[in-house]
Amino acid sequence: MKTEKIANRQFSFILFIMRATIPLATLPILTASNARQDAWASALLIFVGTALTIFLIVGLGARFPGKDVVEMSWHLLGKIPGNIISLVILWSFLHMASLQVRIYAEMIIVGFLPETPIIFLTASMILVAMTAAFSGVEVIGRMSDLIFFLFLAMIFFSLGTLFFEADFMNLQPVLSRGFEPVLVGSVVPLGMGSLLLVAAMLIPHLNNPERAVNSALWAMGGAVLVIISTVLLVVATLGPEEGARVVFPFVKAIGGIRISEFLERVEILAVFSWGLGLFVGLSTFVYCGAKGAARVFGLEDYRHILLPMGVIWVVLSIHDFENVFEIRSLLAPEVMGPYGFFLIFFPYLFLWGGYLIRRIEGADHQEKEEKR
Amino acid sequence: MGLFQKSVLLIMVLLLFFFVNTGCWNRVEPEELTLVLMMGFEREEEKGDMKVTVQAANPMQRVGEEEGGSNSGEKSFWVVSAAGPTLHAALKNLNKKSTREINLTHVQTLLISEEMAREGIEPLLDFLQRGREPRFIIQPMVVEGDLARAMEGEYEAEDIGARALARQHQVVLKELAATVDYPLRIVFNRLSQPGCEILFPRVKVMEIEEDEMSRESPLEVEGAAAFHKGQMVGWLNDQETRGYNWVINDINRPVYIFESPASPDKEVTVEIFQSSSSLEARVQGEEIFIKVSVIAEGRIQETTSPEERLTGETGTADALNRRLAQAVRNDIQAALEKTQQDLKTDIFGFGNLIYRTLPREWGGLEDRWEDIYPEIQVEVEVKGDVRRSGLVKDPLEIR
Repeated sequence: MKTEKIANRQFSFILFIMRATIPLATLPILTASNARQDAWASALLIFVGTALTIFLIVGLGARFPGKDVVEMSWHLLGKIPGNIISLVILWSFLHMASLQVRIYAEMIIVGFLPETPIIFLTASMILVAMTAAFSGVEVIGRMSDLIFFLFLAMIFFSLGTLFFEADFMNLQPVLSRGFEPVLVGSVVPLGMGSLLLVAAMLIPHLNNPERAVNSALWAMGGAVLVIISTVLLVVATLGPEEGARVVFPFVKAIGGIRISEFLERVEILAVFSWGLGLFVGLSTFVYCGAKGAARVFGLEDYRHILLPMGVIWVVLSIHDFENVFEIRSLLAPEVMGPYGFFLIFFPYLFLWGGYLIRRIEGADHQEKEEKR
Repeated sequence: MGLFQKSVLLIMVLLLFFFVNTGCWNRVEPEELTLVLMMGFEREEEKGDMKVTVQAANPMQRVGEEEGGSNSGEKSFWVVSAAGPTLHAALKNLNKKSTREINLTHVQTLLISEEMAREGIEPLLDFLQRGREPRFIIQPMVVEGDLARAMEGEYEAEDIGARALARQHQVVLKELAATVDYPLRIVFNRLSQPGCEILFPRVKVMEIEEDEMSRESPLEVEGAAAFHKGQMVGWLNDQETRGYNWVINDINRPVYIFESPASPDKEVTVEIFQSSSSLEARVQGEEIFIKVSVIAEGRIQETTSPEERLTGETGTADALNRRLAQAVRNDIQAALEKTQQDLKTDIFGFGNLIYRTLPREWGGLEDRWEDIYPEIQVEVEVKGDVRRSGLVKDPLEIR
């Protein structure tokens, strides 16, 4: 079977959209921490942290351009340990996707359609994501080409509307509480950075896998820029304390401004761009999850398990959380931080370890061969 | 998959869309809603329950107008009230009297009775923030006089009282700077930050005589209600409100009338067109100094003195500038005196200024701020600048 290919540009767009969507929607740097008006500084830390994660994940992947993370772990660690490592990564796809779709559905229910059964919202989101995943990674890539510009245009327009009502005095005093809240503020988004693990599945599909690190860094740079400008403008319009108390600060800020008698209630832009971003993110998660699971269990075509996995996804999105308070405790730094870091570092410590041992062994091997 | 199966699938998907397109569980037709435009909150006298009065658009009247029907004597809005132990309960109780679902997404204005404001607005705030329907663009105002009459107020030139009041507020703000612009977004922001208090615009209910020939506006927007810790402590008149707007750099086009420099018994009217102000805080031991610097640029709009000749050489321009500056300074001083000596509430947010610019000093001041505020030294520096004289150079001389 011929491998499907996507351009590095599309890879960047996918990562950008995935990375920008969730922090944009719930702004965990603002709502899950005590950083308040200094949340922009946390966003800078996120960039540094994410860049390190990229070197960890994509850096290793780029050394094995033809292999996805499951094949790579077999190659480096052997079949059974490799499968165990891969299951951790697959779990992160499953859980991150169900978490994201649940948060989106919560927002729709709290803000717009209070009586709609939540399963209808999550199931329909996952259904469309499955359709995209069924069509394959090329379709997801082309879709991200299309959605990227729509997404960006809507974000720009909504940030532009905020700009006219913003009062940047709300950002003072700068760093008056020291660096600790700023550090804590960056923990949850960094924990959610485990979504970067999808890059490990996508690398074999790239046109130019050697430049994957570069593409991923560009995507992260763009996403962090969007997050910084959003958090600055949200704090400047809602105020630091209010911004931190609201559940969906971006939506609330846009809904709370009035540019003229005719131009108000434009929060649909935020909701719409979030929905589009979530669609790209979910399709990628679903695709990578199904592909990886098929690989682990030795199936030839991932499409056969797409439907059952979709059902698992929907069930998980409902039963993972009893209520909104549980989502809130999961997104607390002391839970999401260790959890997200475990998902990233546990597999990759072993993979890198395996890789380095092989390098040294390989070098010994070569020396021996030369001596002969 | 053959072509046949594909087309069957496509048709099924299209049929599915028909179901989805009619809407989800929350399909609400506009004609099933009562669109509330203005809400009024007060305490019910007997039980102390929360009493809500709403003004809603009357859709029947609007239809009649479009069909060209003459004024049938029907009001284009509808006022109804209900009570309940909490705000949300009271709003739910409104449905007993309404034929349609009460919907708050289009509320523009919120009226609060003076008694309720003096008692404290805290019980109102949570609902306004937590609810899905009320928006942060709502402008709250405090009513001086009877709230029920304010809700019923009918304007000659406008259909709907609520829209009329919202426009009136904007006009007063822009043309006179005699009220404040405090939508809920800013109210919540200021309440949640240290060292600043809030103001709501004041709405006066006018006494109208039942004389058909002289119908005036039933309500006037003028001045503001000053709060301290969420409780109203007193009124600001329009001069003090203007002074407040100068300090916070939110001033539009007020007019100032002062003695003509050329002939002392005549007057010059100057309208402000451009202005800016800035605040600076300084803490020296126990003494706190605030410096308010204002630049006011005006135009001569009217003069009753025929000797008002403005050339680059005469001292008239300087004299005009000085007088303008003095007039602006008087407003600011009036506002400062009222809040420092009388109301003792930091509506300007001087405490917040110190918190923002000198966070280290603020730590020691925060707990005692209420006692410190009346003692602050405020230096007001105004630079008046009369730049233009309208469309004529010199006044008309009648020979």
